[in-house]
Amino acid sequence: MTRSVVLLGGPDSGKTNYVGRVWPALDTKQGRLQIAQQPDDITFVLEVTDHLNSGNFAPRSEHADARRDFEVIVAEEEGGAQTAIVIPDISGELWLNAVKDSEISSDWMDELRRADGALLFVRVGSDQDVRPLDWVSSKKMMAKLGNGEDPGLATQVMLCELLRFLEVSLIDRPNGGRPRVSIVVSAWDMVDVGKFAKGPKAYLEHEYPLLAGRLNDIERLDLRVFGLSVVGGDLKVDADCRDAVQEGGLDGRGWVAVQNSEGKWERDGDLTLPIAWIIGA
Amino acid sequence: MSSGCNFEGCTVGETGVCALEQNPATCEHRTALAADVDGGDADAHGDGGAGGIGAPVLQRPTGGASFPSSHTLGPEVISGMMASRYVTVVGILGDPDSGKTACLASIYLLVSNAMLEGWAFADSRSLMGFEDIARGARDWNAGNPPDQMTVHTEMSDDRRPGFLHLRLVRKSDGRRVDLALPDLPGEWTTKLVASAQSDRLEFMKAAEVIWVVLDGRALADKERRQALISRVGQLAERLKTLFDGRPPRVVVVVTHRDDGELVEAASSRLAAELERRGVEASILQVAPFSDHAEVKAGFGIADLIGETVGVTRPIPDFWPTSPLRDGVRSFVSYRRHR
Repeated sequence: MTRSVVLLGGPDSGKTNYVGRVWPALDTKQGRLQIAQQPDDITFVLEVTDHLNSGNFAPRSEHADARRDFEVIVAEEEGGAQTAIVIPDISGELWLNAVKDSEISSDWMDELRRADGALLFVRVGSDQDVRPLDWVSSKKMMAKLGNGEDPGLATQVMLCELLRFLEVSLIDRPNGGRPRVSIVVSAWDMVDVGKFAKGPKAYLEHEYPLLAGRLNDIERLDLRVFGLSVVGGDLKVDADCRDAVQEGGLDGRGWVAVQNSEGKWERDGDLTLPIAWIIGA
Repeated sequence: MSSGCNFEGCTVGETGVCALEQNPATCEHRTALAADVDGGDADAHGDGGAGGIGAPVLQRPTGGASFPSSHTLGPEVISGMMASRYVTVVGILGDPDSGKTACLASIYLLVSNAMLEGWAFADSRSLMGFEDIARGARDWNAGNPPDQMTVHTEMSDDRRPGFLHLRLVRKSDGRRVDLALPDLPGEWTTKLVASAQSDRLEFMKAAEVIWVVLDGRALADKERRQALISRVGQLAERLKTLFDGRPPRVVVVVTHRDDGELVEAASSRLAAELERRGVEASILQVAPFSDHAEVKAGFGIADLIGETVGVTRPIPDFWPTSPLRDGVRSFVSYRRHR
């Protein structure tokens, strides 16, 4: 049975870099999920890992029209039950248009209806982030800015709409459970110690009140929020991190922030966790 | 006339049968193009094959798949929601430019920025609808605020109201409320008052509370005040007719609080007018947007939400107690005593 996991998120939300980083993580067979056999076509993930290995993030794929699926057969343990997972990567621009028109291609609708779950990406400090209209409280600023360029649809509105799409299209799990969605807050290494301790959900509440409200109200989906750092630092500005990647490769770099049984947020080096939770029991 | 035939009224394209009882394959009215194609197997058998008689004129476009729209919702969507959960329908009346849409835009902008005091956003089935009305207000003219903060509401369908949905959580007790808020053109209210045209306001019978939105600047202006108050009185009478004498609670929403507080003379006249008509009403002052620094934009909006969902009418006694009577088979004859 082919199981599929869909990656959603707006432009520059970190989807592609995650796919590029999770491949070597599956390949090292150290995490919750590991590859059972080498996939036939790994062109796309190799290209992205090449970027990461060279000490750079992969460039934005927003204007690429073609979908670039990454298909891999995984198992939870060596010799264990195998599951083929398809992680279709589609540009954030396409998702943005889907929200604006309430319409996606039939292929994509089929993909969503077939999917076992989804990862919804939102990135800390993205320059593509669109703040909600705030002229109720900042009329003076608006008067100064005048009729400037329309910043476009607010990021939190787009994320709410994508959640709604998942709500109406994902089907129940084979065991009758609700479909699972991992909310992945990427670039989580950029937040300070205080924000880290409060966790990514508190961050969403502060930055995106509409999205946070939806997360608390949703009944149809089983949700879990993760923080994510693909290489443990910002390759653009953190020279130490870049050197470490260039010299030592990706092994051991990057982590996922998860809540432990006591409710405390901590780093876990297993980057496969957001996917493992979706397809896991 | 079907494609490939020049005879007016030809039925072969639709039915495959010639109304003149001729053989379509040899009919003299077939055009030259069709005659050429005729040689092909499909048409020779008269089965309307590809490109021949009966074939679709246009190719079916490879359409996308649609999600349910989240622009304004039709009354049937609200009815569907009401079947599964308690929805507070609000009737919103008011003359053109009184500030009805401004109130809706202000509520949305406040929850978008987590600034609606005491309340948090939970869900909206019409998020893009809210975006539309809020975005309409951003058309600033070279840095100058527009005369009107929101676009004038025009209905795509003149007979059906468009609803906005908002689910809010009250922070104090976690209570969730679903509000169905219609964004109606002011002309509907004007017509209701002037000529009792109320058929398209039928949905209001499901309303739990009615906001009568009044322009605070008109109430402040001595020249316009009395006329407006007397129109409110007439509106109250119309509502009584619409609701067979028992209209729901009315909240008189006075906008433009930033231009100044409602003067005592106006509020007492307004209250007296409504009381005289026997309509239960409270008066609230709001400033959806603000031109003056001393009153914050969004003033009174949280109170308006609280007033809308917080006050409940006394519930009639569902099963009134009656004095005990010995020797009577009360249970069996309960309904007869009612």
